[in-house]
Amino acid sequence: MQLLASGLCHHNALGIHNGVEFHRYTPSILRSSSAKQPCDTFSKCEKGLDLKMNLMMVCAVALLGACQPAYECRAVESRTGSRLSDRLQHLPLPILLRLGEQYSIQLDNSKQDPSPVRSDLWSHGPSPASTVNRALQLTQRKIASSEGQQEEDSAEKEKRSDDPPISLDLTFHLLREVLEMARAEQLAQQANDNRKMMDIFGK
Amino acid sequence: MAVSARIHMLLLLISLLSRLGLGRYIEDNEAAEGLYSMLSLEQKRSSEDFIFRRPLRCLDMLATEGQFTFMAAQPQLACAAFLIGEPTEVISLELSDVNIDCSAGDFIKIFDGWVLKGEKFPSSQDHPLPLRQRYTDYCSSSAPGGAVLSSQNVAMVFFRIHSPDSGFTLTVKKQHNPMPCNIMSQSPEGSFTMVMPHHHWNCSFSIIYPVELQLTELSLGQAKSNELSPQRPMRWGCTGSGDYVELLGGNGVDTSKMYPMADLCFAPSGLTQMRMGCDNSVVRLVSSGNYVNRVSFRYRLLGRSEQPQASENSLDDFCTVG
Repeated sequence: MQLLASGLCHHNALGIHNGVEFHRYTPSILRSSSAKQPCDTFSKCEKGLDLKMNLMMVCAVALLGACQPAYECRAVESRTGSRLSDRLQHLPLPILLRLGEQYSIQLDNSKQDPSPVRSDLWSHGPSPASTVNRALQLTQRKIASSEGQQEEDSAEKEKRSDDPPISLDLTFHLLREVLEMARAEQLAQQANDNRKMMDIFGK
Repeated sequence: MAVSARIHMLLLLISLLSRLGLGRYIEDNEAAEGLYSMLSLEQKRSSEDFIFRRPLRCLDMLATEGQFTFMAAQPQLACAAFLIGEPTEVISLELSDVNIDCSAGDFIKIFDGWVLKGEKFPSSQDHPLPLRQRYTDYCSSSAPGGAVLSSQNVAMVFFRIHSPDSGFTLTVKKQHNPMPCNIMSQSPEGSFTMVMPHHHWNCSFSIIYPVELQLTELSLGQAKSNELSPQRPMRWGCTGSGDYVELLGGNGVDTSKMYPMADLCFAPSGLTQMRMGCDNSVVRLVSSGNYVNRVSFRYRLLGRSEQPQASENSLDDFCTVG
């Protein structure tokens, strides 16, 4: 590009070597004794400059068209720090099953006690207990003990490795209930923000 | 060279130079949107009211930005918070003021997606990360100190706290996603357009309601015309095609375990409408990466009387709860 940008390109054949014809491109400005006449008038210099600009543009376009990047435009991931492996070895608890609850959390741990742990704990905090307590559906799962898994085949291992290490048993009905509550909260918060904004701009 | 020719060359040069650019997510970490950006700096400093705060419940669903603080009044061993945003948003989660005892069995885990009854959304086939990397464990030694960004508009936080008065604060922010893929709808009614430009990604739009679905526009790479002249026999479906749309129904959130109710390899001439009486209705766009695929649809909630009635001993109704 630097060579091309410096002026006209002149074709200077150097000969043939091994069947390949070599050429050297020498800008006219580097020639010691060029036959090119100096600019003796302004119009001649302007024409010469136009020609140089045009040639430079053509060469730039040709180079860019020939040297397009091979990669395709893609979004750059800006996620930070989300690649972590999950180790549950320090969690010995098996299934947590609570009577009267609509959900339970499963932990997939090969060292866990096969008998389910039952808890009478229930959070009645600020949550709308009446809504959450509706539609009882107990979901009970058994996790095979580590003693019975000695001879599991590779297919079972692959299937288990794809199972999420922690899960929540929740009915669709309950999920929709909490989703609708969240939507109502979002709309209320949006209305509240709009009112505050109007108050600020109104002052 | 004439001036007009030079102008044409300049334009061509600029267009070629523009291809050297890179595409990025539109990062909107600091700037506010809409009217909030018109506030003065002093007003912004004093606008603490614009940060939504409330206590976090043991079972919760968060659809707004803000700060949510969980404080255990008693041991809480089975808690989870679902997070959902608009289809064109991704969720940023950050933990602060964490006061838990990891050695005693407390944990806080962030999952990139939703997990329900052992099924995950998006499925392993549709998510870019392997399953284990979708979990971020606060108690892990390699836990990141900053925010965790989801890959789609849903995320989830599991937590267990044994000691009373222990807790944490969860800061939720939303970021714009210019190329949404794998979306969970917040509402049982609405419309959406999925576009997949030259990417070998399979994207799903999930609606956890029984709905009536109408496909309003379909543009696939192999859709040459509206003539019914498929390359393969229709009885085998579109699985042989690289680009198609399939409608799935099921009672879980994992799209790989759902039943295909219909698939489309080319744009239909008329309106495509289907009533899906399953708990979860999914529109899935399968793309080979060779074309720009686009599907537009709208959906509305099906009433009980409108849902398909299953006749006795019928094998067609696979969405009944068994």
